[in-house]
Amino acid sequence: MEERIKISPIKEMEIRSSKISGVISLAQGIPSFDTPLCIKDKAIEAIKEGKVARYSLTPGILELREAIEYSLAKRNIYYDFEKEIIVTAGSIEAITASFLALIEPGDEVLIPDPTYTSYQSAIKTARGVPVFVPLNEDGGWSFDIEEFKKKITPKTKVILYCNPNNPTGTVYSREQLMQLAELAQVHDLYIIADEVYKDFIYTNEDFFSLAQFAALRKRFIYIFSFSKSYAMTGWRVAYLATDRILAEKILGVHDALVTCAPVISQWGALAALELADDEIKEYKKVFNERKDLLCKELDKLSDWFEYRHPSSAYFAFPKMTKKLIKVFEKYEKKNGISGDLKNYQKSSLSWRFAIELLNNAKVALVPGVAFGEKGEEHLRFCFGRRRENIEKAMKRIEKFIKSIS
Amino acid sequence: MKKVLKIIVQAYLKLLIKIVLIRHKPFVIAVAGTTNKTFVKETILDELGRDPNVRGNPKSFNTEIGLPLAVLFLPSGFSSIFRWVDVLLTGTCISIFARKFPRILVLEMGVDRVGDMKYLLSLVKPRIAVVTNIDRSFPDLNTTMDDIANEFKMLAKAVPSDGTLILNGDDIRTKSLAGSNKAKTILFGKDKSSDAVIYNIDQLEAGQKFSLKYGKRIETHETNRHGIHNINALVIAKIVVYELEKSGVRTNKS
Repeated sequence: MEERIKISPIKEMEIRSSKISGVISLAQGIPSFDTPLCIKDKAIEAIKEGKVARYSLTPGILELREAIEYSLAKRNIYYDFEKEIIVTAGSIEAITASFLALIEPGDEVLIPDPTYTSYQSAIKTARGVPVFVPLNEDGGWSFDIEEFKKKITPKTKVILYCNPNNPTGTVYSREQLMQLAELAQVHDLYIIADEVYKDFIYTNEDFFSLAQFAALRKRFIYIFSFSKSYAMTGWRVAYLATDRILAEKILGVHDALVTCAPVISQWGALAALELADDEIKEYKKVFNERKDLLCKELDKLSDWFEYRHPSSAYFAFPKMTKKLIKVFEKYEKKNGISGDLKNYQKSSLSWRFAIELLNNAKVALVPGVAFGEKGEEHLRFCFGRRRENIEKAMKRIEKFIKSIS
Repeated sequence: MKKVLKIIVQAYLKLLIKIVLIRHKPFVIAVAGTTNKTFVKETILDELGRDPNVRGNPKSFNTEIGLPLAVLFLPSGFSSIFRWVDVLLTGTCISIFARKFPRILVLEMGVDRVGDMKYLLSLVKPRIAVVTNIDRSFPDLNTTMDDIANEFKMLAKAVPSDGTLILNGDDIRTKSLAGSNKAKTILFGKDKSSDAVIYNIDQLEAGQKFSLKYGKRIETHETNRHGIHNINALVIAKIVVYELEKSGVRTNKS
């Protein structure tokens, strides 16, 4: 029997934490901000003007797609809004629709290990097989192109990556991305790039997108979500851009899945592109401050966690030190495993630690193994949450570790 | 409160641009249509060499409040009374005291509902008007496509007899605006009966290549963008530049 698709571990942690009072969650990647006023005003105006009651065109309202083309062109990314841009119900719908359009049951999709948990579910929804390609942790979680080469088989159809990467915060270099593009061309593969965190890069390094590489356009799908950049996670609106032949295939699936993205959200997204540049700058500044705060707090726990300073997104991905693992295992021997854990969770150190932390310290984090085998012994901390919550959570973690050591 | 603020701001901005347009008498090029206004405006500005004597709408300021802001080159105050006070004070200074003002304005004109074009035309009098297309946008529940087409007809009629009307000859609704007045009308498109005929379109990895026949001119152009609307934008911009040069508003060297 085929493996059933499970709810994402990130959402599972949120559900578990919602059942315990007083939990501070640094689990799900939700920005703490409300959606900018200019976006909400535009959406309200659209409701009042009677613009949201009906379906839009399946690929999305013309004005929004045109604004998307315009915003992409500013980055030297060129797609035709009429035939090559589709507005979707969040980026996960864009990814799932792309797989349903591109792969056959049993086809393999290469994804970095670790990377965003829901990619696995999207691949399985299309009856594909996710194949993890380990990232190079010592090289700052960069691609290991040789590993990619090793994993390519006749069944491989797509490479999917998130840049900047969630949970590691890596920004892949132009050189590595071009090597990946070369692999795709040699082995006749598609590439899907999810650039949901592109607006939150805290270094001055140049951000390169393979969408800028015109020679790849017939095998490349660019995806961006409004969720993170504009604090619109609840609006479920994103878009994909790709060559017209691929876009036509994906459009049919998108139509079958959702008919069109929520129209009210499309008007909100239009306002985001036209009016919310200043808000992005402000969010980036605040996230950068929160990143520094979280890193400062993690530095205080250097006996227990080792980590790389994140250069983008809003996640830190520290590794439990040998000392912490030893202390925790000793604690488990004495006290047993607490909480209701499934078998695959019981066998994972990061799952057990995350659940113990939730039940005892009332702090929700995501176990690193949720992002792939290479993520084991790591935990994902989201610093998109409020400053005071980050401070409180870190104090609780420190107290918990001291109590077990 | 917001409604009152909007009425006050709108009326005051109208007054300010009346003053500034009477003082400086710029040559106005209006770009209207369901889509492609921004690309056309930007391409015209590119073709005119980003001349400081030419100004276009910043972002897509093209509505009853956006258009006056574009003429005065002011930011929006959004929902803040304080920001609007600041915007209107700056606008007052510009309209009354500014000595330098662009000679040519390239303005997007956005139409959402019946009455929008009438209001925009009460603000500016275009000498050249472009209608890119009349497509299914997202009219409100009470506005039909014919209502929207009539708005564009109003723009076509408003072009003076010594002005120029540039229309998309491949779009039936837009093409039907030809003959709305005595102004010179130029149709562009793939349709061979157009005045500016686009042909030999070649899709490249990095954009498109096409040929243009306009009067005695036969030219080949390339754009790094995809989609027919980007070819149309380039063709419209070329026509606008020819017409400006022909009418002496702009010389080859200016």
